[in-house]
Amino acid sequence: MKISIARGELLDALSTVSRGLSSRTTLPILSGIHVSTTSASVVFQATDLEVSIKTSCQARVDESGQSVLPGKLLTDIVRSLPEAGITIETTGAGSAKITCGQSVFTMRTLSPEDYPKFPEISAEETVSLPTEQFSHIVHQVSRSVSRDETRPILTGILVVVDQNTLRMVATDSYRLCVKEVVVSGLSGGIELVVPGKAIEDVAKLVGSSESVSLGVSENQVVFTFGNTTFISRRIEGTFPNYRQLLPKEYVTRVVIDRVELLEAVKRVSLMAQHNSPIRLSVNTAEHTLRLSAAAQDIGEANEDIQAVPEGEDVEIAFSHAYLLDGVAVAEGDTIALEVTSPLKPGVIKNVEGDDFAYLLMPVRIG
Amino acid sequence: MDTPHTTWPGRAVLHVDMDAFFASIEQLDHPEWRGLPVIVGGSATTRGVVSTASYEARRYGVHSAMPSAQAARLCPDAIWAPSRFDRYHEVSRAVVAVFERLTPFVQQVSVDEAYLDVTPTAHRPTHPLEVARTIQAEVDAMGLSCSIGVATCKTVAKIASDADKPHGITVVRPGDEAAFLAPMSVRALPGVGAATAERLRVAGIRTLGELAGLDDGSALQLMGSSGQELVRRARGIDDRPVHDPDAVKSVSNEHTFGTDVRTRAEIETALKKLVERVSERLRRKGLQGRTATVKLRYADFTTRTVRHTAALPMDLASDLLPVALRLLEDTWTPGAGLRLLGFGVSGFGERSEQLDLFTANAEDDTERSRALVDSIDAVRARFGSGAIRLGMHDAGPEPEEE
Repeated sequence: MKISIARGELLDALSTVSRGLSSRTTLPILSGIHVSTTSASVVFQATDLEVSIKTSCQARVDESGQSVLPGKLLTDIVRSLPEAGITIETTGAGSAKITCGQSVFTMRTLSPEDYPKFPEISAEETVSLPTEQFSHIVHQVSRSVSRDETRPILTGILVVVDQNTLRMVATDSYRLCVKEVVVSGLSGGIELVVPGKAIEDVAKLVGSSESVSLGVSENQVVFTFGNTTFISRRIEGTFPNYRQLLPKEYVTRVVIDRVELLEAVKRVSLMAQHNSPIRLSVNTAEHTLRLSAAAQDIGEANEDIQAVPEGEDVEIAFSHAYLLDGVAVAEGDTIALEVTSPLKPGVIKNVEGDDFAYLLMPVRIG
Repeated sequence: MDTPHTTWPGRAVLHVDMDAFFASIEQLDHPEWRGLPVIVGGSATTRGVVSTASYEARRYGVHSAMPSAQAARLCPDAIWAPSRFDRYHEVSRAVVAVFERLTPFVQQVSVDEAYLDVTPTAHRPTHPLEVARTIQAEVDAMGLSCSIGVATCKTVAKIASDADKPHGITVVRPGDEAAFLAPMSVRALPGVGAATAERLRVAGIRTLGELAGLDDGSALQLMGSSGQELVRRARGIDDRPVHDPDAVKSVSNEHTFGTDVRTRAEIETALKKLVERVSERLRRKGLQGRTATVKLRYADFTTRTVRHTAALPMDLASDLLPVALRLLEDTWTPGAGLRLLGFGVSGFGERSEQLDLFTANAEDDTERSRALVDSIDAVRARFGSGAIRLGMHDAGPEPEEE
């Protein structure tokens, strides 16, 4: 095999498939990137057996063939090279030579026969989603994905396509984020749970592609964008019924400037150490929302911000990290915080519309 | 004696000590016992001790903590009354209510004694002696009696309250502390026990005046780390505030068995009772602690203490009991006879708990069980702790508060 590719395109392709590289040392072949040729392009693949990624780019193919090159090393080399043409050539005894200008690298290769075959998926359902909306929703809900492997279903994001809406939900059992958008031209119904890390990687990779298509088979989900195919396993099991968790009413609602609240939460959090919570007190008479935090033997912080309250005065405490995430991913200049009781979930919402909700369970304090 | 017409510079602390409190309550509730020797405590037939003796019984030489059998020999005609702690607590609360009408700074240290900070202020210029007289008159009106020490600090007030018992008021003016303490035995100072007193005696120190003259080095050598503080107190210097909220480091109860117990059922029943009592006291004080301690004293007087620190602060008996039983399981050798069992909770902090979306039902359970114990507390506050019990209790003596 002998191929020549522009450095920029090669780096893009390698960076994309690198997200599929395995860090498991028990299967050394999975640390490699599989490279193969067609008539005028090169195909790159990587897999850790959880996800499989394939992408291609234009190239001058002087000699067809295939090889498996050490993924991280190859990517690091290409990243360090100047913007020029790069030639990759396999030599006889299981090695490859990478040449760019005066730089020459040779490296051992792995056997392409040992490399897992790229999964063939026949999607039962496929929808096409605008990249921008897709990435934005993933960014919003992914912070609420659980990192705790003991409840696998919560390490995923629930993706629902229902008529012409796309909805994603994630929860780590302390907070829950749900976001819904209307996408014109959608049809069909899809409901599946995708591993949080996989869908986050897709959202980062879609980049300049106009749309991302999502296909579902029995056990797997395939995302297609540009020249890239990204396949992930689905998470088995039933996602919690988030609808019944959403409070139907509220006792207190405050409308607040989002950025002002975000900055205040960041400041007051400095005093909320060791997971001590931030207290929020709504004063309807004064039209204020007070944030306070105290750290034993250290000190305390207080900040009043202007708010438009409705309902009763209330005091509720939240984990500062969860509160910060919620305010950060909410959109718009102003947001609403709705509370029913100090022991029931608080909800951060858009001031108008029900397309976004970030539920967070309070911290019970004495 | 001081008169209310001279001003009182600086801090004023009262120590109010009820006179023969339990026995006085028994005489109040049984008018036919008034003027007769009354002994409250375990009867002479078991291995009990005298809890309180009325002044009539004290004339025979009976005193608190004396073995019941000895008391029975000294005063064969005494009327023996079993302890009724519910009743004593009820009266105690009524007495504390009198204090609280006079000053917000009340620190109750046990069922029958309390410190009050009555430092005269612009808003409440009443002379401390006047406050003491008011308290004594109100306690008299309840059919009880108390002795009061008036001083500038807790140590001196406490010693003063004991100087003229029963029904006395002893005032130690600011500046007179050292002179007041000097002739007293070192045993009068709280914190000096029999062992310390013996070490001091060997060193030729019998009075507080002699103790007050000790230098830091000798104090450390004779009495260890607390030595310097004891010398300061012997000089009448004690800055401890009344009602220091941090003073509560632990809440614990102990029970000394009338006869050694060795069956699992008996010990677990006693432990459950202690846990419930501690839990109730924690909730009354609004405290939650993360560390649970079980104390065992075997028949041969060896004592074991084991503790466990949980992730979350606890105050409910339903949370504390499994921890207590596990500690017992880890420590007690089945069949070993126990003299004393104790349970305590410490490690108090602000209680906070991240709630979970999916255990909302479990949350409701917690709320329900909390509502249940709140109701039980309310019933007990009104009708006494014997008014409502868990089904597993057998009838037995109430544990003593520590």
